[in-house]
Amino acid sequence: MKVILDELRCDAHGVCVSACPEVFDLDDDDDVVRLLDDQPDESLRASLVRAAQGCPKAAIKIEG
Amino acid sequence: MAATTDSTGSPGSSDATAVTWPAWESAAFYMQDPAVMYASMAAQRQAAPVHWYEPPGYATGLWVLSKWEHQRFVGSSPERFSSWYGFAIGDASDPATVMHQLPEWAQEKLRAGNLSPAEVRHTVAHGKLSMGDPDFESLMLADPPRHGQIRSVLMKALRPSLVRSLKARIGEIADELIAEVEPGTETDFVTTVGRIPAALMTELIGVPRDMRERFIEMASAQMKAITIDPERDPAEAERVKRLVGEFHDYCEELLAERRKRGSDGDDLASIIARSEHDGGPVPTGAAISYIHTFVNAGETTRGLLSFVALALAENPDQRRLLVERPELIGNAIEESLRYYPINWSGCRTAKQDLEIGGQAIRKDDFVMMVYASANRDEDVWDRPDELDVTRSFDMDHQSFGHGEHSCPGALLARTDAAMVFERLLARFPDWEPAGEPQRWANPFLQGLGTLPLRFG
Repeated sequence: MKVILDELRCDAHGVCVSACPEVFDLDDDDDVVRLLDDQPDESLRASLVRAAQGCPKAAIKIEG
Repeated sequence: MAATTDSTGSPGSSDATAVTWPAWESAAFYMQDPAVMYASMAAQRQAAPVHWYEPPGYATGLWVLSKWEHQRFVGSSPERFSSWYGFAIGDASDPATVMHQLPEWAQEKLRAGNLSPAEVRHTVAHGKLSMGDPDFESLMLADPPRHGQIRSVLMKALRPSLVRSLKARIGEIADELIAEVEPGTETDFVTTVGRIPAALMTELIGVPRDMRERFIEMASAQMKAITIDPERDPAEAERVKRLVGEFHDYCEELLAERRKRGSDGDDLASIIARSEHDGGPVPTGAAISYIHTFVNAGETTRGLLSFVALALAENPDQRRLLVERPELIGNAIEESLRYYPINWSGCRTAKQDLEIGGQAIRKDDFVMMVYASANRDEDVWDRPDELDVTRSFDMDHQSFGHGEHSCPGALLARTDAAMVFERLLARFPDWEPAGEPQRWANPFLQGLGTLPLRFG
């Protein structure tokens, strides 16, 4: 499973960070979400799907 | 059940006669008791979630999408749905009925009579937004990749780190305007606390303090102009056009001054002055459209604050919960956005033939996502008609739109509203309705003209 974050689209809303903190992170001085792990474990799929679906900018894609 | 369509694309009469479905184009529809509006929307959502509607007197009909799932698909597919050919229901008006609200150059294009229905919508939408400037380049009408390019300049002034750093200043402005509220007497929320976002916005744009009130007046007129409305009184239409012209000239002067002086400030005017488009300075038409976007945000955030105040006046148990647990205030703002959205709908134009919910959408068809309906979609929300400030938002509401065109000012609006209600609830734990609120007569954006409350 591969996670792709479109950084140009990301507005750092942080929905993904709440949905899947293992993979996404955001500090107060960040302007774009940080992708901590672009090939996360399969066990995180459900929360990743929530992160991707919840992203207000549709900036997250999951492949595989 | 999928509604059947006849050769003109109208719904079969069998399922259209049982209930009163929304008159989406009519300002009167939006001035009703919300319970009536929401029941009407629910009836259509359940019987015909993808519904072909022909507003009386309109040039073309449009597809009404009521379900959250369908709206997410459209919002996240800018390659299939264009924003160029109009973004609001009124853009599909018969041009003859709205001609007088458009600048001369747009009228000429429409009179030439050689435009396709989609191009007519673009011309109406572009004309109404333009403040009279034929070179006006709107974020709302742009498609990728151009949309991303022009949005990136705007986002420099709305970057999350900058917005978060504004909290202290928002608190100061909030304290200043909350101090005007006198407990125990009738207070109009809209013109007191409701002024906070516009006041903040003038600072973020870089408007000098002594121009603040005048700027807000011109900006409010521009807000009216973006909703084209065949029912608008001609004298009012004339007033709006004049103020909008003045607003355009003022923005141009402000930018010229900032360019001449040079500035490393974080205000929008300074950021525009030192940004580039295609290797050159930002053209005036785009620069003015950035300011326009900020200005709209001041007015829509005023709407947001008003609706939060109204929802909490109508639901005292929820307000008391926030007084006890202020950490829920951010979530309460989301719930209010879901429950009483500001931007009720958004439109796109199909770039290809495709199917949604069993209905055949054709290339160039106009499609309207009713965000207010998705926000009450039974498939997404438990007890959708209840205000619950503890509700989980794993699934996002549609009030800021979704995807490429989702609201660039969402974080600012959320931050602004959370700060204001933290301060307000700490100062006044109680408030109650002191009269009927007056709703905007507007088929695209909802807000309150007045909201009489009594604080204690």
